[in-house]
Amino acid sequence: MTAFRVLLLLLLTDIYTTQKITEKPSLAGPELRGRITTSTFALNQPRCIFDTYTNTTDEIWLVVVLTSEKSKFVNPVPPKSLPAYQDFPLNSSYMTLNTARLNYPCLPDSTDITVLRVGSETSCMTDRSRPNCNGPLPVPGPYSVKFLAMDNSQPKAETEWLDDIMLKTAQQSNTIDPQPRRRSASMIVITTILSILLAILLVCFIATLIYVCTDICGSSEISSKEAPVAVTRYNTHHVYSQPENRP
Amino acid sequence: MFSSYKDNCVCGFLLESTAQQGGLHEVLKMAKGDNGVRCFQGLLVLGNVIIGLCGIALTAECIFFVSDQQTLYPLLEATNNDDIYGAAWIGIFVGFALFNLAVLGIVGVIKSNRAMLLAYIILMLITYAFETASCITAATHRDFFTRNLFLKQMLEKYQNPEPLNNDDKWMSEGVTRTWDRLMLQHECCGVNGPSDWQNYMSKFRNINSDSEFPWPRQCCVMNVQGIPVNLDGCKLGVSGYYNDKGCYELIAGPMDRHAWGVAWFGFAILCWTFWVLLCTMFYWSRIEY
Repeated sequence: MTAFRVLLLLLLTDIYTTQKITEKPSLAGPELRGRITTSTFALNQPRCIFDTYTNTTDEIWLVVVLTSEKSKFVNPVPPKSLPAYQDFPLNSSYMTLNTARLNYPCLPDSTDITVLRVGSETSCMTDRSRPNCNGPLPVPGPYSVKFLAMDNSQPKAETEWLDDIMLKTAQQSNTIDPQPRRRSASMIVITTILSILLAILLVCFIATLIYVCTDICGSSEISSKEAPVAVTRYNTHHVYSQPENRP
Repeated sequence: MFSSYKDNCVCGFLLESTAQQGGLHEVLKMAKGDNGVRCFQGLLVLGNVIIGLCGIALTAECIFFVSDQQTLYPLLEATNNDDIYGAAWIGIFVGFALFNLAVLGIVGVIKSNRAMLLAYIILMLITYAFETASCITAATHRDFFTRNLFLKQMLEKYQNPEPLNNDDKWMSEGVTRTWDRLMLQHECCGVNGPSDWQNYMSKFRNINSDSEFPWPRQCCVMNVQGIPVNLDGCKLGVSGYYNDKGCYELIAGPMDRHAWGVAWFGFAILCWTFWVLLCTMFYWSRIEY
């Protein structure tokens, strides 16, 4: 009986073995400024990866787990339902961004930016009817992701895990110190020179007042003691000319 | 100017005195017809003319700054540190006073009137003190305009949904209006760049989710209707669909010109006025009653 059960189990796992693909998901290139934000990150689309292992109608899902709980994750097989976004992070994993493989055509020279933005849908965050909601990530991480191809809810192929995606953490604005580090040279020059000039002017003004006051006061004092100026009388020429002309 | 003076002057009187008084006094006493004196008077008049012209220029410059063409005043008002505007206001009145005093100085020097020149010197000293204060204020307060000051202000006041009181509401609205206009007109984002909105928490972030608004919509490249050209490209940070550069240069540039214009031009005027005042004080002390 037990041997029969073991055989059945082996048969079942044999049917449901998922194909392991060696590629990993990759983060989008660094030229995108919004590659990693505080609640989203961007991955490159899994083009040309699943082509040999899946049909065009198979769905490719993204599995997001917390790296610390990665070992607990097993690919969901029916009748077990897929982990929903709304239960994350209590559930420590969710699956989202499901799309048919034909939406990832393998075009070698595509110049379009082909990224998947994880966390871009805000409208279905609490909507239980959308368990595959691509909602914003609630904690900074670290996260691990992999792509999982499913055929009628049966896992068919999967990539390796991409580990340790850390999201940005925002600092409080009161940690910013707005004080200037040091005084600028211009300010020091202006302040010192102008202060010195003003001081010199005031000193000179007071000195001038004192000088003028002593000068006026001094000269008036001296003039009162002054000896009278000797005035010389001049006899002009015409006084003597008249008697000479008398006959 | 000098020919008319010659017609009016009482030429050539000297004070004689006994030999008891010091000889130096009489030699240096100003003879009104003397060439050296006229030369000195000419220099003083020239000095005052330049002061008058500089006074007008200072008034014009300060009126230009106070009228705030770039409308950055709300940002300063919100920092509670708008003293460079105070310095510019003082500059307006100082420039006007310098012009008037220069006229008084010219008249006083030509007439060699002691009372006029004393009034000139005292009023000039007062004006000098005010202008010194204005220059030092402008130079000192310019140092406070660091990147972090505007960054902190932007994070705490831009699109602030819950201002604490009316004052805060007024400041927040001014900051929001100014930043929106700056980011749209000059195609820039944040103080250092869009990453400011990612690196720090902000009042903006409190009501706008990071997923929808990694940075404000005003950071996106807009078409003529004011709608982002490619919203997803803007949110992802694809170059060409969002504004990459920071706005700090556009704020600091006009503030620098404002502060250094007031401070250094005032400094130059004061250096010149210093010499004119010293010479006037010397001239005044040499006029005899």
